[in-house]
Amino acid sequence: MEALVISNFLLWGVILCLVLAILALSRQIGVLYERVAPMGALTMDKGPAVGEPAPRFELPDLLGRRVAIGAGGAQSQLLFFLSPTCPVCKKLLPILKSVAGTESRWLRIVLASDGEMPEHLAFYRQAGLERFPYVLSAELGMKFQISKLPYAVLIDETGALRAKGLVNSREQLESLFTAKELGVASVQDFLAGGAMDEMRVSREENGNALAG
Amino acid sequence: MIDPVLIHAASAALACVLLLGAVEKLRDPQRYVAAVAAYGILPALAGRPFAYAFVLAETLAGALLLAPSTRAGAAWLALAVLAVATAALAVNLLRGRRDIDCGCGGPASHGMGLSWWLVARNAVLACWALPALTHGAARALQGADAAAVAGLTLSAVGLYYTANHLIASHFKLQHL
Repeated sequence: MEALVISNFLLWGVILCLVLAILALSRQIGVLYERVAPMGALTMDKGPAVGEPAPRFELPDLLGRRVAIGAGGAQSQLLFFLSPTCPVCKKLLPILKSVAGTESRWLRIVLASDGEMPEHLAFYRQAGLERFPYVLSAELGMKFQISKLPYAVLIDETGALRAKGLVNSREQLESLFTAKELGVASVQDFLAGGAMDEMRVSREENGNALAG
Repeated sequence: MIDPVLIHAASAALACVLLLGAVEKLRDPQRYVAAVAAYGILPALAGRPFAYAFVLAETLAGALLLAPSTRAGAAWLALAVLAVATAALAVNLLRGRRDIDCGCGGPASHGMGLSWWLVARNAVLACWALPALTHGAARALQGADAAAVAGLTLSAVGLYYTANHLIASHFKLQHL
C-alpha cells in the first residue's frame, strides 16, 4: 500500500513536469509565429514591372567613376539598395561579397543609396566595399520606388528588369537569380503557378495540427 | 454522489482560472475596459460599470469556490460569469467581428482575436463547475488524496494556459 502511495506522488510530479513542458512549448510556438520571415525575396507591387526595360541612368560613383545602370552589356547587373544605418544591410554585405565572387562570370553588383557623401564614403571604406561601384542618387531610388531596405533589382544583359525584391538573407538574394533562370518574376509568382496547390495543402495541414 | 477528489480538484482549478483571470484584467484595467467597449453590446455609458461588476463577480466566484460551505453557490455564480462572457463572444462571432481584442487576459491574449475555440474552452471550464453542484461526496477524503487533488488542479490550470497559447497561435497562423 505504501509503495502505491509513493508511486502515485511520483507520477503526479512527472505529470506536472510534462504539463509545464507543454506549456513552455506552446508559448514558444506563439513567439515563433511572430518572428517567421517570408522565404523568398518579397516583391512589392511597385515600380517598373519585371520584364520591362529598366530605367536608364548614368551616374558617378563615390570614387568619381561613371556607372551605367540599365544599359545592358556583357553581364547582368544587380542593383543593391542599402543604407549605412540599416542593420540587415550590414548582415548581407559579406554575403554580397561572396556572391560577387561565385557569380562573377555573369553578374556585376552595383550598390545604391542616397544621402550625404562623407557619411557614405566612410561606410564604403570601413566595410571594405571598394570592389563594388557605389552610387548615390535619390532619383534612382524613386524611379525603382524603393520603400524598404535592403532591396535588390536584377537587370539582365539586354537591359530588361528580371527580378526584384526585399532581401533579408542569402536564400532570398539567390531566389532572384533563380527567378531569372526560371523566367518567373518572383517567388510569389512561382507559387501562384503549379507549386501553389501543394504549398496550400501543407499550410492547411499545419493549421489543423495546431488547432487539434 | 461523486468522488471528493473530483469535487475538490475541479473547484480549485476553476477558482484558480477565475482568480488569475481577474488579476490579469485588473493589471491593465484600461485595456480591459476598452475590450469590453469593443464588443459593442452595451451602451457606451454602461461599459465601465459592467466591466468592474464582471471582475468583481469573477473574483467572488473564484474565492468562494475554495470554501466547502459556499461552494455550490459560487459554482452557480461561476457558471453565470462564464455564460455572460461566452454569450458576448458568440454574438460577436456571429456578427463576423473576429478581429477585436478578446479581453480574456493572460499572457497569450495580446493581439488575440475571437474564435469558436474560445467558446469551446469556456464550455470545458463550465464543466469544471459541475462537480461542485452535486450533493455530497461519495466518501471522506484521506491523506493520500492530497497528491491527486493538488496534481489534478495544477495539471488542469496548466492545460488551460496551454490551450490559451495554442488558440492564440492558431489565430496568428491564420493571419500570417
